Order: sequence, then C-alpha cells, then structure tokens
Amino acid sequence: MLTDPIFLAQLAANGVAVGLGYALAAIGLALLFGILGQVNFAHGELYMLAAFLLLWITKQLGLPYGVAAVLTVAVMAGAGALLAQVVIVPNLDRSFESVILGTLAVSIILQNAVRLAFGATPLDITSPLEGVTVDIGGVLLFGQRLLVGAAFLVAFAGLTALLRYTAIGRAMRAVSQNREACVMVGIDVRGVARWTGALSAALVGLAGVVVAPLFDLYPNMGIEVVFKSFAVVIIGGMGNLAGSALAGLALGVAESFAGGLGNAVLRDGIAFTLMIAMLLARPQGLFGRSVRV
Amino acid sequence: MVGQAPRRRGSAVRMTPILRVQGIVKTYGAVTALDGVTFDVARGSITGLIGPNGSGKTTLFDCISGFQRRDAGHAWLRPGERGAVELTSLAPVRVARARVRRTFQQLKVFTGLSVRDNLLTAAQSAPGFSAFAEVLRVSRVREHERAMRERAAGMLEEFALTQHADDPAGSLSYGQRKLLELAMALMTDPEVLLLDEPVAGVNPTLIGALKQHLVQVRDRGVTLLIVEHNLELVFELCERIFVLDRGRLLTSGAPREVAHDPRVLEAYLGVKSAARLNG
Amino acid sequence: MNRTRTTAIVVVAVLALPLVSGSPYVLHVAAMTGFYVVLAQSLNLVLGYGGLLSLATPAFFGIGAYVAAILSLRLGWDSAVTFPLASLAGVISGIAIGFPSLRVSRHSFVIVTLSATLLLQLVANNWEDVTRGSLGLANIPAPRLFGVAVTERTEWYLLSLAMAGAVVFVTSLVVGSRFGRAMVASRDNEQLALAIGLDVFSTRLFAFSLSGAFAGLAGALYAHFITYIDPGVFGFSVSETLLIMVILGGSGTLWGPVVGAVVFTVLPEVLRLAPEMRSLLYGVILLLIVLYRPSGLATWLGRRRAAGAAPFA
Repeated sequence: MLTDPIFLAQLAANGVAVGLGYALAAIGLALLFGILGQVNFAHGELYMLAAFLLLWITKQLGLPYGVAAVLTVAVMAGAGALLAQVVIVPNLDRSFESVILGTLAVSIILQNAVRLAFGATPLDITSPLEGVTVDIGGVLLFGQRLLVGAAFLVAFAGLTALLRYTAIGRAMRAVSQNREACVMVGIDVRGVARWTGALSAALVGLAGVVVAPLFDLYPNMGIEVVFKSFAVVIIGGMGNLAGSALAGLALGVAESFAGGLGNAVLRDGIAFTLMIAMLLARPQGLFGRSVRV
Repeated sequence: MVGQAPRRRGSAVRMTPILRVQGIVKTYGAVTALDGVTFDVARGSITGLIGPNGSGKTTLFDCISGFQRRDAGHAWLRPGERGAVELTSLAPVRVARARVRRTFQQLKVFTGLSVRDNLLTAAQSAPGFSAFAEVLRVSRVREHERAMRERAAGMLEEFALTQHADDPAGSLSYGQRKLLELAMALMTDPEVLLLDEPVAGVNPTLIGALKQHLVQVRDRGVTLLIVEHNLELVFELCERIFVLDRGRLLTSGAPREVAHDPRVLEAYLGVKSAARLNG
Repeated sequence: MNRTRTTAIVVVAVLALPLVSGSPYVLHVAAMTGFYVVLAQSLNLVLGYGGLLSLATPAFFGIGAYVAAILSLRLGWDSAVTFPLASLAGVISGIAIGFPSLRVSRHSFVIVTLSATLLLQLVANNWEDVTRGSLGLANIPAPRLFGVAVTERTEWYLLSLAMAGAVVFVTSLVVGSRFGRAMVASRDNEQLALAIGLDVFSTRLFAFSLSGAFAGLAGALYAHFITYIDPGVFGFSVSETLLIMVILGGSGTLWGPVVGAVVFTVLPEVLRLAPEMRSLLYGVILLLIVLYRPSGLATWLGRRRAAGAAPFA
C-alpha cells in the first residue's frame, strides 16, 4: 500500500485540499497580525459563526447556497469591523493583552450564544456540490473541496490586489510598517483597523462557508480552527500572507500523510509539534515577519 | 561594601583600558548602523561618546550590553587580563552580572515599586541567590537584604530622595527619576557605567547637581562612558571624547581637540558651541 | 482595630460554617470554593504577579487530576503520597510547558499555553490504555490521608480549607520575598529588569512551575471529590472561570483572587444558571472589564492597594 502511487497521490491530493482550507482560514489571522500586531482569539468563533449563519440563511430563509454564502461573507465583514471597533480600536495604544482578553471574551460569548440558540447536537449544511466527486486519474476529490481551493485562490489573489493597488491597501501596508508615522501623515489608523477587521473576518467567514458543508456543525468547532490557524501563522511567519498560505498547504499535506501512513494521533499532534519546533528553532517562522516589526 | 568616602583602586594606577570596543558592526537589512567601531576606554575615566542623531551611539550601547546582537566585532571588559570578559556575546543579565551597568535613552525606573524598592531590586541579583533561598529568606539572603537597605539609605541621602523613599517611583518628577536611575545603576558597585543621555530633559539647575554626582561616582573608581547631546557637559566632564558619525568613529581626543576639529564641526557642531569654547 | 476585628469575624465564620449549617449542599459548595481558591492563586501567580496571560492552568489541573485518579484507582496509594505526586506532576508540566512558552514573544506565549491544554486533551482522549479515553475514570475512591478516609462533607470542607490556607500562605511567602519583588519588577519593566541583572526567564519559570504545583494539587482534590474525571478537565472553561475570579477579584493582590473565588463559586450556585448562560455572562463581564478596566472587587471594597499590585486589570 505504501508504494501504491494512486494511494500516495490520493493522500497528497487530500492534503492539498485540506491545506488550502487551512490557508484560507489562516490568512485572515495573518493579516490582522501583520497590519495591527494583534491576535484575535475569536478567530475560530468567527468561522463557526459564519457556518451557523449560513445554516440559518439556507434553512430558515430558504435561500440557495450560493446566495446564502455571499450574504454570510458580507455579514461577517460587518461583524469583523464591529469587533475591531469595539475591541481593537480602544486598545490600540494599550497593552496587547487587553485585545487578547477582549477577543477571548467575544469567543466565549459567541460560543455560548450559538449553543443556546442552536443546541449542542451536531448539525449539517447541504451544499449543491454534495455528492459531487471528481475523478482525476484515479484520485478522487469531493467537488466541495475543489470549491475550497478555488475560494482560496480567488481570495488570495483579491487580497494581494487590494493591498497592492488600492488606496486602502496602501494605508494598511503603511500602518503595518509604522503606525506613529501614519498618524502624523494623516492616515486614519482606526479606519484601517476597521477595514482590517472586516477583511479578516470576511476571509475566515469565507473559509467557514466553503468548508462547513464537509463536516458537522457544532458550537465548539471554532477551537480546532483557531488552533490550526495559530499553528499555520506561526509556522509561516506571523504577519506573512504568502508564508501562511504555504504553511497551511504544508500542514495539510503533512497531516494527510501522517494520518494515512501513521495514525490519527500522529496526524493531530503534528500541528502542535511543528508549531513548538518552529517557535523554538526559528521564532520568526519559515518566511519571517513581513515588514511589520 | 561602598560607604560614602571615595575609594580608589589600589595605589598603583593601571594603564590598561577597562573596556575595548573592537570592530563592532551592526546592520538592519540595507541600513548599516555601526560600521566597524573601535576604541578603548581608559580605566577610571569619564569618557564621552558624541555624534549627531542616528550615528549609532545607542545601538553601540545595546550591542555592548546584550540588548541587541552585533553582526561582528567584540567588546572586551578588562582586555588582556585574566578576568577578561567578552560582552557582546552575553545576554543582558550576564552583562549586568559582570558589573557593567547601563541606563536607557528613554528613562526607565520601576514606576510601580517604591523608590526604596527600586534601589533594592537593582542590587538583589548580584549574589545570585536561588529562588528557594529568597522565598525561604535564609540567613544569607536576610543579611544581604539588610546590607542593601543600608546602602540604599545612603543612596537616598546622597541623591536627596529620602523623603520619597516609600513613594512609588512613578510619582517622582522627571529629574528625580533621572537621579534614581543613576542611583540604581550604582547599587552594585559597577566597574563600568554606560550612561545614555544622563541629563537629557533635565532642567539646568539640576544638571549642575548631576554633574557633581557623576564626578563623585568617578572618584569612587567607576569608569563612565557617557552618550550625550549636551556638549557643554561633555566638554567639561570628559577627559577623552569619541565622535561617531553614521556608524563610524570620526575622530577622538581631548575636548579641546575635538571641539576644534573641522570634521566634527562639519558633521555636527554648530558655530555657537565652537565659538564659546574658543572665546 | 477595625481590621483585626473584621479578620477575626471572618476566620470564626469560616471555621464555624459546618456547625452553623450542616447542609451537605452548603458544605459541598464551600469545599469547591476552597479548590477554586487554590486554582485562582495558581493563575494569580502567573497573571497577577508575573503579568503573563497564561491559559495553561487547565493543563496542570488536568494532569494533577489524572495522576491522582490513576494512582489511587490502579495502585490504591494513600493520598498523603498521591497528592504531593499530583502536585509534582504539575511542577514538571510547568517546567515542560514553561520552557518553550516563556522564551517566545508575549503573543506566542498565550498561544502556546492554550495549545498545550488542547494537546493534553488530545492525549487524554487517545491514550485509552491509561486514561480510558473519553469514557473517563470513574469511581475514584475517597482520599485516604495517612489511612484516614475523607468521606464526610465536613471532612472535605476542612481539607479544602486547609489546602486553600496552605496555598495562600505559600503565595504570601513568595510574593512578599525579594523573589516576589523580582517578579513584580519584571512585570513592571522587563528591559530594565534585565539591565539590572534579574534573570527574568528563570524567575518566570519558577513562578510558572509553582502555579503548576498549586493547580496540580487542585486537580487531585477535584478528582477525589467529584469521583469522576474525563478529558474535559483540560477544557477551556476552567481558564474562563479563573480569569473572571482573578481579574475581577483583584489581579496581583493576595486576597483579591480569594474574594473572586468565593464570589464566583457561590454566585452561580445562588443564581442557578445553566452552564451556557453562566459562561455567556462571564464572557460579557470579561468584555466589560477589558473595555472599562475596573481594578477589581478588592479595590472596590476599599482595601488599600499594595505598591506591588498589578496595574493591569
């Protein structure tokens, strides 16, 4: 079995698919840290919120998946801006522990609010790509997984374009380099914070929307997401977008092979092990911090 | 234990330098902050380190005291002697324990601790007691604490801070905090004191008092290396001055020499200061 | 003096509780309060005096619980042995987790401490030979201290009180010493602390390990008291509750977290909230604290702040 090329290719394909999901989930976190130097402990709950919101829109409002997905991402952007306004903006000049505690508080609130609203039994979202499987030379992939990959590529390209070519993108890059200078030059740092929060939440919300149909939904699902996202961001280099993307991919593939050739415990332990190893050996991550000191 | 009387290091005055900075290089990507800085600091002297903003003075201090890692070069404490220590490879904690102390450009004191506790904390690590010994307050620790309390009382007197001894350091005026910072650095009998802008932001009346303190410190046998922008102070106090410009040692010499060096004037000094020295 | 009289009244009231109310429920809650005092001081050491936002307490708590449970279930050892061993397990975990996490940036510290608890939960779920996985360990016997079994609620209450008292005593010893001064200095200004020769890393590692000792002990007590544990002991809810207790009670003071532990063990019982509602409320309170930064109940009650108390709420 170890030498069966189809099996190995399947493992690789699965790994890439999962990895793209990790990458999509993590770049929002990397963005927030890169631009504002803040860690959002409610990151996983935003993912979870997006998934439950999608569920609610499709079940209660009866809207189709595609429309619901777009709506959800839009709402998440708003939620992200709100979160930034409430928790990050007042604490821009205070110790960063305030933001960590604040976002932790928000994560507690979101988890329990959703649990009260939806109960703790796992729920399920149906997507039009359900049951669609693509066969590429003997390697099987769920259609939904391809959607995840596509979503990531579009999101990453869009984000890069925004940062490079738009005024707000320039402002964001300026803030990531030197916040004090921005204030002096008249760049609205608070506005940038809100935009960054919105983008970050929209990205992880998009991740929630495309990945959620693959698994069960439950209020605690954010914990694993935030943990994997942390690992990806640390391995790739905190604040480094391309680094996080690559690290996400690498983690997905590593986990896939660990699980396929080893066992489940090995697979689950890899993220933690790589993260600790990176922190000890090369704290700036594989690709270093992008510009932000 | 240091009392109030000045102390001299034996009757034979040693001529070897106390600090040898050798070829220190520090770059940040494309920016070269220090480009091979080399000089000796004479034992028991007050030596000045001047230069325009951005010339690398504080970076040099950081590299010597372990707060930044230099890319190349060394800083030897007591070079050539048996107890010589290479400082640039040490963590800040080890540099401090080698009795090289420094102050910061941005004044640092423990604002939440009382003035007295600031002084005591500045002295407590020298004997290197274990955590258990400290928590259980074994007799050695208690003795040391008692001795340090006496010394701190002396410091408070010397720097006129006695009435504020139990107030939080954060409640002191800027000038008082400067004095406290100096006092803290002195608590463990340092051999070398790196002072980063000791009179910056201090009102002129206090500068005179600080000057006196610095002379007294030198008379106690401590070597002072002072970074300062207040050139009047530097020229009055320092026996020798090193001038940095854009990461390189531009020139060095006695105050008169440096003040008249056209290169220094060009890089840095205004006509006013030069004229005052000449006139 | 007024203060001495108040203290005396409190001490008498606390000791007389079993006589005043024989209700097993009241004593049960009182015993739980004692365990939370221990846990709160554990976090207080690292967060309050150390100034580090640690989410690792559940790791030490859970390890202590499992060590005590396994040793008494499988080997039947006397608790006079298993309690110290559980505490020791907490210390070792403190060193193991502290070593990497204290070296890295402050952000990463929080992440690593959180990740450690997740990892331990994973191990507890999967190492079924030892922990029976998600089934958990049940029927943990009553602790036997030097052969004497602790079964009655009153006995549990006194044991809990003794442990809480011991932990508060040790904490006061630590924070009142020059070591405590070094901790507070490192929290106040880390760069300056390094410049004056304080070994900030070792100081923090010691405090972290001691907090592991406390939490490990609490875990052992909890395991015997509730008689059932599962991988959920490594869950985040412990950190959630402790953050409220310590921060609201008065982070970086000796008695603040004690008050916090009492209030936030008793209050949920009195209000009879569903767990989700209680957690939701905690989240809201925590958010309000972050936004409006009161300095803790202890200060509200007008107690004088020691110079060393944490400025960070």
